[in-house]
Amino acid sequence: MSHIPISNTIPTKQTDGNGKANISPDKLDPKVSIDMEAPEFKDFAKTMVDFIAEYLENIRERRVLPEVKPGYLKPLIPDAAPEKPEKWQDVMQDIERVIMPGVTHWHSPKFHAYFPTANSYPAIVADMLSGAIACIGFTWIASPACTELEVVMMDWLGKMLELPAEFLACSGGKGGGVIQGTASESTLVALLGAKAKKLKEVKELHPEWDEHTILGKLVGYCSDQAHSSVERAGLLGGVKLRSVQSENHRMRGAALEKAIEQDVAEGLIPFYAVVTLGTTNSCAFDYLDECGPVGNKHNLWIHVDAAYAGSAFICPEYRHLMKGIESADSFNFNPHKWMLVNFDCSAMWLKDPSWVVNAFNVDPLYLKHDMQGSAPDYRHWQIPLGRRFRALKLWFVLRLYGVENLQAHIRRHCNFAKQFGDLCVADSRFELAAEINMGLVCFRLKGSNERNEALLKRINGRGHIHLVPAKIKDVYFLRMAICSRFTQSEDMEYSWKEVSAAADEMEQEQ
Amino acid sequence: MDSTEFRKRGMEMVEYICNYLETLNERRVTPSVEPGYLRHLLPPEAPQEPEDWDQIMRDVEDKIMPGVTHWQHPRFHAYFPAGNSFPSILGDMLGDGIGCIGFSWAASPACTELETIVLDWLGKAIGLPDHFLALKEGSTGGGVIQTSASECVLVTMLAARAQALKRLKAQHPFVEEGHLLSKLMAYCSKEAHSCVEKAAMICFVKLRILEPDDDASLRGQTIYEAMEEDELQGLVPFFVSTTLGTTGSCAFDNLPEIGKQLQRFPGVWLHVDAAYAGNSFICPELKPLLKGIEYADSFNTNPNKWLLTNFDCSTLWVRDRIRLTSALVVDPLYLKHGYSDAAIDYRHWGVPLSRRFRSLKLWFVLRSYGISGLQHYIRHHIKLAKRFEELVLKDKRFEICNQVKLGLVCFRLKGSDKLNEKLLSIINESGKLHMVPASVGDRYIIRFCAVAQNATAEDIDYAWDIIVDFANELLEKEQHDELSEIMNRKKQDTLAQKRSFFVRMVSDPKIYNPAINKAGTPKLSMELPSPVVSRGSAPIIRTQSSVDHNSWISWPLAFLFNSNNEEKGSNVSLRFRHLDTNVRPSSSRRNSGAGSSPSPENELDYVNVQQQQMEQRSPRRSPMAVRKASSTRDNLN
Repeated sequence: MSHIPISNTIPTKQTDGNGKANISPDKLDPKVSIDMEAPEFKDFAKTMVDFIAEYLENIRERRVLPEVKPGYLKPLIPDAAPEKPEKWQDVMQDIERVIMPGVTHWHSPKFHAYFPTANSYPAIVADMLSGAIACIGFTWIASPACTELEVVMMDWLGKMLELPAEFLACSGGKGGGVIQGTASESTLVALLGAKAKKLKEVKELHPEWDEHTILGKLVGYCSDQAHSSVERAGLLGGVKLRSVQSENHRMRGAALEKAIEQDVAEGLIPFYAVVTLGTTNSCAFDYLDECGPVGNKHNLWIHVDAAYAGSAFICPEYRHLMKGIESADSFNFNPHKWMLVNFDCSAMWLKDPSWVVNAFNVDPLYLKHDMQGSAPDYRHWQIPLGRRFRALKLWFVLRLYGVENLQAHIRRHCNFAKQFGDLCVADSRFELAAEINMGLVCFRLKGSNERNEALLKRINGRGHIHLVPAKIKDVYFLRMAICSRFTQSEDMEYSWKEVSAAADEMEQEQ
Repeated sequence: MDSTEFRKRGMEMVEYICNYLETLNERRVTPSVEPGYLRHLLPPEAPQEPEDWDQIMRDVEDKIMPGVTHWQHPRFHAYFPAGNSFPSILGDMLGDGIGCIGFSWAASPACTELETIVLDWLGKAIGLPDHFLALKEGSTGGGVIQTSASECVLVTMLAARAQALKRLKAQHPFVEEGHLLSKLMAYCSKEAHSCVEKAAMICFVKLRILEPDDDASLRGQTIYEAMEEDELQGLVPFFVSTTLGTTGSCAFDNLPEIGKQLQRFPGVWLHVDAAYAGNSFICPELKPLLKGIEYADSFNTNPNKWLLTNFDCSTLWVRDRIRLTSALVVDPLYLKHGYSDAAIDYRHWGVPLSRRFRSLKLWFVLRSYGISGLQHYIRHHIKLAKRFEELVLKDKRFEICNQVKLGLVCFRLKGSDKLNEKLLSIINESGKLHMVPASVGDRYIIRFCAVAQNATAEDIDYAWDIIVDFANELLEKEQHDELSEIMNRKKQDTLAQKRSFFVRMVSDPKIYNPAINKAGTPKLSMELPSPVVSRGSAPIIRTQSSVDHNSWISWPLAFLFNSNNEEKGSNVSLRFRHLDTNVRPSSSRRNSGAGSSPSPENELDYVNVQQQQMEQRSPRRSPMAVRKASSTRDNLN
């Protein structure tokens, strides 16, 4: 029998009726809008859309590297915020006057430093929508679409790479994926999960040891070629991290095992190893099919860092480099590097997220059952509490390009790298410092490190192309990374001519 | 998508955004979907072929929007504001378009330099002392944008830890670092944000959670007594996190008192977390709330909360940037550049190495609104909160549970916690309003926050009308259920005891070391479990830790070691409930009831008949809808 709905006319004891508002609206100041109204936003937005389209369309014409010196910006703008609102037209004008002179143009076809940072129109537009919805998705209910789109997008992405089902939420097991801001955060989160897991294991074996005694014995491993964020994760996590000597820039299982056995003999407790697929220096690939089983044998957490190269695994021809992935406990790559998704979008999968959830979160799970992955509280899978609606840009990019066009994008960059490598080899003054992998060419002038430092300085000083150096075992070389989605074959010819011209200049000066 | 299509689709998105924000009041605040709703709406794999843009936009409305909790809705009163404004959206759009990654100055000079300058702009507007501003003559400080306040607390705690360990190693060169780490103690109020606890777990240090006063404010004497006691036990205080504007009740720790007391403990890092309230200090009349800031080593506030700036934009200032960066520096060759010594390189100031060009949106917002416009906006929210407070005070059935200083009002029906939990639940389930609870002074309270950018007095009145309607119905029902009341009282007592027990637990130093004996003198021990012999160095005061699997060895990872003790787990969950939402999808409620793990939540069953009643109610027209109808009528003339 349903309850009779209450009627507003039923009297109550309250002298002011049913307690409803009876304060006059006039008591407040008249409403003064301080907001930019929609029509103004549309004008500003249209100008911005046009600006962005023209900027990216004509980016070749800009000098890739700015000529400014540190402190250039301060004299150009006031030293305090304006008291009164400014016109949007003035803000727009300052973009060219103030900002652009100091921008390093990462999307210029002449930018060959670091690794690509992706940029595409679908991602830009999706981020606009994310900004408008402006929800903060730290729990499922804080915005269900935010969480659930992320769950599905991580499964889409995992399938594109053919990750083992244990990593995917749709398998119904413990595993699942999460979008982090950067690979640095993924590496740290994995380390913290590994630490929690090992501490519990050791505590069960040695109840008399306190956790700080155990902490002092923990040791993690990575190749001497691993990214600096791995070393930093060890620093932040308060544990020792051993560098394992690589062979031809690649970490082998035997070397890892030797390091582990040596540490065990000294009474230390190995707990974590980072296997890198695509190192920053030379895009080398650790032997995951060797290191993974070694890690499993010694009960270490294996984290795979494929920040740049992971995008290439959407192409079947590169998946052999992932061999051994089933032995990993966590895997990370950055769609925001090479998959046309704007920064920040770092994809991370965990076979068992409960170790991460329990490692550093203060809101423990209510029920001790395997998470189904339908509605994870992602704030427990990451360091910050709040999170943006990043899955939107992944969703837009994957749908608007389709897998086939993303594959084509990857393959095109790999071909450009080969093209540049061929140009190097054809010039007897130059040599390759490492095998060409993916979109990276490592090259140098034959001879001393000093000559190559001078060459790089000259190349970058001309401002027409931008490279950065790397050093492996005291050999200094130049890194030519294929970065821009606007790059054409002609751009590679142009870049080679720049390198060659700089070398010519150096020869003439001798 | 080429640039021609981008221009077209970009403007279509602008239209969509304008339409979304203009008609937002017509949507339910919270979605009515259940967990897993989206999985069945989307294909399990990415499309092989490109899809049509129009199809994607249809999916945004048909599949995404049904699952969106509308944080910008005028009826969203949960948490704190999530900043959103047109200038901010466009600043982010430009940041995306430029697409540089600012880990070093050379990686894009404008990215670094605009951040330095804009942080000085904001620091000046707030009224921070000169030593926090990077470009002031002689300053060693500076500001940086982080993703969230959690990271501000974490990086400052990491820096404090590094500094403390360095000092301890100098004093005890032969002691293993793990043992030195076990001596470190951090402090915060019970009302502090959970990110302080999370940071302590990541840093692997002990955190002592202290009892605030009756106004939920942490006092200087409390800090002093705790630190003195810990020092006597051989522990090393190294970090204090204070809050200006707590999440639960917007309370303010007593910074002048705490700062003075810390003068007695050199080497302790004092951090001030003003994530929400810090924005309001751009108003001169609110600057007194910042009193004592000169004692602080670091300060953070989130423009992405109350300064109309989109997430992520959390600003952190430090007094001495070298102490921050030296804890975080890892410096490979490929990140070095010719100007490394002359420029600030922000990759050393945070956990991630890579970073977005976030300063653009802050720059756009500060210029588009001006300080005066932002001041007006903040004052408007405070007025709205005061208006709501007055409405609550006029109704004798309700009470106010905090000092309403800014935009947050904590209130409840007089009566049991269960009664208030029911009230919040039925309101949130209706989707007309969205609020969250908090625990303040061991009582369940409802948080009402003035959030929406264009909120009006009518919105406040309308929200109050909704609350009163639901309260009337609930109280009517309660009057006919005396037996239920008796049981409620019993359950309330049980919950109160559990909560009280837990609060005592987390503030009791015995949690950290059950062997602590306040009546006894500290024992000196020449023996260390470390294999390193400390011969020749000063003995370290160390107390024996008893082996007792039921006691908490240390705060970090405590849940792992006590995972078999479900009662404690349940108690712990109550501590942090204020961060969770009270909305429970129907299936979750039923599943939860059948769950194998007991939890206090299962004891607080929800009444299905109430839900049925709610479903029968017709949606109430909001004032904005009325105004829109009037506007339409006017247009016909």
